[in-house]
Amino acid sequence: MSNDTILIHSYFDQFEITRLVDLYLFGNLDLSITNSTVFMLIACFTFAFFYFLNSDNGTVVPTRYQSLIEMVIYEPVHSMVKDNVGPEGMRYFPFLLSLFAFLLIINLIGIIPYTFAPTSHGAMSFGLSISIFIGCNIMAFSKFKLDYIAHFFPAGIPMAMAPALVGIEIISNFIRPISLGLRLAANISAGHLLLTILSSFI
Amino acid sequence: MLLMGGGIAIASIFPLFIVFFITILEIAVAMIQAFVFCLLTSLFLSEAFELH
Repeated sequence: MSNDTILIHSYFDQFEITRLVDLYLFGNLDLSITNSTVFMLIACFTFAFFYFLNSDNGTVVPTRYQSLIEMVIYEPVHSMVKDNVGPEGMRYFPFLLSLFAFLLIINLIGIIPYTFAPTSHGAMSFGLSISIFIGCNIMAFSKFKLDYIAHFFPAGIPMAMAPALVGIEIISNFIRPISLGLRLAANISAGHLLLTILSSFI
Repeated sequence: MLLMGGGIAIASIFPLFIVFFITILEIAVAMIQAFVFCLLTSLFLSEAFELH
């Protein structure tokens, strides 16, 4: 080895959260601005910036930035909501559009070297998925009242199997938000670790 | 490997290629995961809209 001053660092340094501005409310409520917060804000502002670029109501023949947003963000989410939720679910289209754009931009920014990917943390992606799950359940219970519990019984099954199946369905219903958040965090952090380890071989 | 000099430095072109293609793969993963998250969220929403 000709060079003894090679920087040796841990592969997990890239996931470290550091407090940039200390901010404690009411004694110990920690609202510090971390690098995670900064990169989430950067993602929000990037999205807002791309939308303000063509805030002149759009044209029939799209301009460059308009077609970027229409093809990459608007069209996939539009067809997804129309196919899955149906026409009356279109009022949740803005929510899904902003969720998709936020996650897309935050994931793509995280790939740039020396940046930080907040979605690689379970605290962020799992918090997102569990709040969506709670929100959907509140919506369903306020709409169907207790009839929503019928959702735990699959259609076309003999009544004798009900006790076992309802238990399985309830468990799988509570596992879904966990797998939703964990999938995002695991995929992003595994990819970042793979890139770091492979680039240490160069 | 690049700092060791000689043949090993030339061989370091292979990890460089691998890292390049893994980066392309990661960009794809970033887009697909964002899409899958939204797809499953829309499935949650669709269950809140209709009982089967």
